[in-house]
Amino acid sequence: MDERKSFEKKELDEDDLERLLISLPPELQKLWREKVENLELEEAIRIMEDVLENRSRVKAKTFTRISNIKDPEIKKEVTDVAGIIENTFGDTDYRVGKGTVGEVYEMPYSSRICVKYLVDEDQRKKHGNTFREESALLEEMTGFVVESIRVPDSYFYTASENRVYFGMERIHGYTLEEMAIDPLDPKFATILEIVKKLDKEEVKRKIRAFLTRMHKEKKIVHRDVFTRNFMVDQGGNWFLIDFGKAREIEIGEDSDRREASDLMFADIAIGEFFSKIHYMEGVDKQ
Amino acid sequence: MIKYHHSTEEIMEIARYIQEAAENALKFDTVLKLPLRLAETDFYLAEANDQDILAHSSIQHGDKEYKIGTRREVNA
Repeated sequence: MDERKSFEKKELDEDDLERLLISLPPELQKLWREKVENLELEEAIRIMEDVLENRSRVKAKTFTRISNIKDPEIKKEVTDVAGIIENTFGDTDYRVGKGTVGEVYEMPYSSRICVKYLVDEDQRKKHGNTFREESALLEEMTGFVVESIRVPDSYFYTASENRVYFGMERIHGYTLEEMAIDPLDPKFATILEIVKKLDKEEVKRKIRAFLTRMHKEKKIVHRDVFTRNFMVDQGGNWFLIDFGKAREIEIGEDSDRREASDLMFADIAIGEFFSKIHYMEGVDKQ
Repeated sequence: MIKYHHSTEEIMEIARYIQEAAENALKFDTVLKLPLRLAETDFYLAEANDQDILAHSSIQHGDKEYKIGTRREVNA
């Protein structure tokens, strides 16, 4: 028995640990290397096996590998949908937004769905979140509504050999930044008619309430609260978008400064927006 | 028009809360009225041959496979 144990111990070497580590996506490899580097080899391998097993369990539950779909009709549809998503990128007829990291397109098969495509990996690294992490944060926020403010529903994440992208609810509206640049543009008229009737301080209060509860209940800080990341739809509903820089507050972390920063930038964004739209009309209500 | 042939080895990961809503519906509802809206989103659980719903994924329940997808607005 002892001989066998000893034999098993001999079998474990640094290559085994390396093999486990390289099974992870690059961003996780670095994280787990740091976590296990000072542990005994056996303990490090045991931990890594647990991590990989948990990941495979999660993947098995949420992933559909298209080739595994048995029903030929469903398989064809999913393959076609994936192809449409892939090919819609670059079609300006469907483009609804463009940022430094990604571009957003409405899907030709449904005006209720849009897809965000990664276009600049270097910029994304500066923002911090991978697209999977961003879509996971959106998913975490789905259904969270405070003072009628919410985030777009998260629907799916997909990756091909060409690019990564995720699907979410298409908001039929505009960002505060877009509307502030040219508030007299007729395409903003319906929304601005609603927004101009709102009390600026009341809007600030509602957004502060949303962010505060997001911090406390969802344990998420947004870290990119600017006019470009608030949207208002044709019905006057407000949305916080783009969780590319957001992050979860870790247990025990002192996040007071980050939370305060979200609130401060929200106040500034709303103040700027209302000032601009009223100034452009010559009706500065301040 | 599909310009790019999508590899069948690629993956589609449906948001977990939608997937779980589908699993729960299949687990607990003895008589399912399909298509069934999932988690108050625009995603539905539907029969494999339901042409109104465009599949983004599938879910197996017993011997039967269902589609999870969104309403088809145009021929896709």
